[in-house]
Amino acid sequence: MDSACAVAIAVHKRGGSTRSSAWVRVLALIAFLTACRTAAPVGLSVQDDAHVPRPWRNLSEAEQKRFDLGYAVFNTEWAPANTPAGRTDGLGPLFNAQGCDACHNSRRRSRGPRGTGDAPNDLVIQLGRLLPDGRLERGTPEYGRVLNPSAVKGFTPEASISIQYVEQRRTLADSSSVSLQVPRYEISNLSGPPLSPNTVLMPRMAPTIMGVGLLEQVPEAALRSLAKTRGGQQNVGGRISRVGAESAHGIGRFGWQATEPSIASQTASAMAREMGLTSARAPNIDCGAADRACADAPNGGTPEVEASLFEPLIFFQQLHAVPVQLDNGNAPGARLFERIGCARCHRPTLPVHLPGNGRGTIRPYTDLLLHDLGDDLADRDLQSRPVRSEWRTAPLWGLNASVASTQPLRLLHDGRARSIAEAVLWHGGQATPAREAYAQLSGEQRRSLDAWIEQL
Amino acid sequence: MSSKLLAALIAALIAALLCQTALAAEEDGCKKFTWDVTRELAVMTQAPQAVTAAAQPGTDVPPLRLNKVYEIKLSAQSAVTFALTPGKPTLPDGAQAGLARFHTDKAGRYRVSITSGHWIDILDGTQLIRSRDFQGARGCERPHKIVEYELPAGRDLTLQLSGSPDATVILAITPVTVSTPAG
Repeated sequence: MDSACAVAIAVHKRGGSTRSSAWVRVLALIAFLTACRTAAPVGLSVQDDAHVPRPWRNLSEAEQKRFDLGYAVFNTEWAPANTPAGRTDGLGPLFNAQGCDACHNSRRRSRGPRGTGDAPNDLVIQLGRLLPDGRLERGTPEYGRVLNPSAVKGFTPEASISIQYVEQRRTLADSSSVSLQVPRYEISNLSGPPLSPNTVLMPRMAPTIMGVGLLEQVPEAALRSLAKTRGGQQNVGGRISRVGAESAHGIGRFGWQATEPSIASQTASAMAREMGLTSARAPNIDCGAADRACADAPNGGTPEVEASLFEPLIFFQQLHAVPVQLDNGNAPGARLFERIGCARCHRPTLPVHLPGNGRGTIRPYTDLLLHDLGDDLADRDLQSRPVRSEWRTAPLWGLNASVASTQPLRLLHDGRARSIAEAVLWHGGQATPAREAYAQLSGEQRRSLDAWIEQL
Repeated sequence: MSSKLLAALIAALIAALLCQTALAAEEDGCKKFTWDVTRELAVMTQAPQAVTAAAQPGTDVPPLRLNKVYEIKLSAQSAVTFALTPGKPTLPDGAQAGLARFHTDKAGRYRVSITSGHWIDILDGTQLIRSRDFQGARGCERPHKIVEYELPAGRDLTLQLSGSPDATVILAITPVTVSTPAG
């Protein structure tokens, strides 16, 4: 059953008399059957780069137009300011990519690095500073939050970024071995002052946008309950990411480290930092403090991404369905997933509260909580000192879209893992018991588990 | 030698050096493709033939030959009627688009090399042929990207460009004759 059906099947209206409840149940059943027949992405060919996006619920005609407009904005390649002036100019002057789709790879996770050499555009290097007390301060005064390796004509890119991988073998209990790639990042051709030794490089792949709207609907109370229960009873920790001021949107849900509370804030930040586009939510682009040329560059309007485009872009992401999951909870792989402890953090189901008091259940394989996964996965500063890094449990749903694309699989926050096995074996910290249990499986069991995860 | 002439000579020398440096940088960028793109790079260095892309399907869709490079003039996307909705719809604002056609004698892998970020659709009649993969290399402008397709034999295929503000693009279609690792 796909996610649209999974949501629809559990949606019901609360309250009302017994008699009206019966009617509501009938109506809900009709809605479910309709949703599963028309809105469900059955037959979605996700291996195709031009596959058509589907919403996870039925849309009215006006909503469908808004969804389509958002899709067009998502695909649009932005132009430098005034070339020509209009709704889609304002790129840069410093940037990583010219459009959302350039990194989010047909709404899937990014393609990521293919090996030693230049870092691809869809691997963003975020910057930070390691403070004397061990904490991380995001951004640097010289280059801002993101190192931009591209620039519009007349401006200088901030740096060139390359990756070098060193292979490291890991032997498993059945004597087979897996080769893991340890990445090393090299920054050259800096446009400004050298990076200080305590600069932290934070490489980040672009995640899929499929299903993010449903993750946004997971109630805060459910996450609080998960953090409390799971930390206490199963000893895997996991805490809610608190971002910004304590407010209605104070819980981080998006980004590899759950640094953003909403799809809108995540999108606005990415547009400002990685494309040099301002919006009402992010009125400033990511120039280094001393980079006057960047700060004084012509703009494409105030803001550059006007609300009539930004809002449909958010609506499109909020409604984008997850591709068909062949998720069979009774499959041997599913049982192993549960048995060795993966499901403690990659939680199969989460509740959602949908607009209009609808309730449902989704199968994202995440708890949306932050976990310490150990030093091997942690970001490092230029002196190779690891920064205590906590990672939001990556949702596994939609992984089948990347597998089906036939492009080489690249997993984890920096794309270092080329297979499920590699990704699992990189886990440490709170996930160490699960990783060790995985390493103890027979080859047949591991293949069964990996294959099951790949079709999620 | 007068001081004016000397200044002019020095200026010319500096310009020549800068030009060479820029060319070297671009050549280096073009070496960063992980596919074997020897043929594509060689074809893209040819002098391009100017053609104007059609703004609608029909008889005036210009034919392109394999292994030749073209400078294709496009039209405002809002004025273009596509043979099929582009595989990735974009906002028409400022975007340039157009149609061309080409013929394949043999079935196999083909690559479209282009100097812009245009979305490329290849159509067999009204059937979209999906791309196999694509590559780009930072610092390489000619081509900016290469998209690879598996194409059938003996077909007249339509090439649709959309979604990028560049009004003129340099483009070449080449058959892939060597087996290359996908990535």
